[in-house]
Amino acid sequence: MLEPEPAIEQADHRAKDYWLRDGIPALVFGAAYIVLFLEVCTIFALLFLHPHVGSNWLWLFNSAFVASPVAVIWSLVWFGLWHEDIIEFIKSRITYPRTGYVAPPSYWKKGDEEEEEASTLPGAVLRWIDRLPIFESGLGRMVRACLRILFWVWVLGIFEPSWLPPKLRLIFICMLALPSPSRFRKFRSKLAYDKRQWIKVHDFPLYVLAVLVVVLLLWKQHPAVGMVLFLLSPGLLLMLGGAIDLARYLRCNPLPRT
Amino acid sequence: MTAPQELAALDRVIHEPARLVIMTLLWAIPEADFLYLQRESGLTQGNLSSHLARLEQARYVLIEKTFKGKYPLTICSLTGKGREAFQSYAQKMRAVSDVAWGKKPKK
Repeated sequence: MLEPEPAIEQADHRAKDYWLRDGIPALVFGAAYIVLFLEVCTIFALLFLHPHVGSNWLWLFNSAFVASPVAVIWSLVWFGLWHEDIIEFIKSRITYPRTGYVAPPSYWKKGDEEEEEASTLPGAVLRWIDRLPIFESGLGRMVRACLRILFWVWVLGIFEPSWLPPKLRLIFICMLALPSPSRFRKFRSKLAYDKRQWIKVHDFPLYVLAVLVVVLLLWKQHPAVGMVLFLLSPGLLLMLGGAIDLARYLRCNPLPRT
Repeated sequence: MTAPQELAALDRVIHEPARLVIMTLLWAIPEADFLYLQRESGLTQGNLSSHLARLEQARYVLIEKTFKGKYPLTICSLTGKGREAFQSYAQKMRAVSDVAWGKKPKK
């Protein structure tokens, strides 16, 4: 007997899987983590070199020191706004000619990203801030946007929370950094259709592995190094996974002969 | 309306198996291109083309030719009329299947 709903559900799941199957989103997200890692490394390198700089070059050094956190915020905002376009640009050259085009996640119906965001500790904090009545006006929205940026700047370890003991600080920073910025979450949440898929699209095992690596290697070291490694390990793992998926996809789907 | 009468009132444009596959695929997603539909439906190029033309004629499907980068795309999506027609078709089928399985049909 014909049951139309399972067929629709399957078509929906296959279309969502299709957006991740070629490994391109994983490669792009991995590259973003590595860019962030390099930028955070630059900040720490500047901090380390500061006492050794001669007075002639101090102005240049200070300018770089001011510019580097701005670069981190700018790249987060830029990537947050344009990641889907970057992925689509690459897909239009690799995926569409081979296996066709499916509308990107921003075209899909609104998913349950709000619940997904609230399911993590920092996500719940941000949701709570968003719902405060003072943020409903135009100025309030600007304040909220600034607060969100400050929140992530702090998460990235630029303003280190010195009131926390070092070990707890390391774990706390890792916990706060767990969800990627909200636009990434929206992109991914729309592709998740059940709990197993949610874990897969949010690269949850990679984060667990990254936290383990950081905790095991840096139990008695500076949390800033842990933060840097925390960005590097999922970045490298995502790029590796994405490259394997892309190689498999290209092997299985050669360009059709015209 | 009785179950046999429901069957007689089914939308014949959608009821054809190949067109039902196309409508199901397009119902689930906002839009897709010809190549994707061809791969997912398993239809030949000519077959898919003629069925899409029939659905376009019934104003159930919107077909647009565009470019993504340098790659030309024939993008297909369901129109509002197409969504309504498919929903109504699915409801009628549900009523028929409910009767066949001895369940009370859902209104």
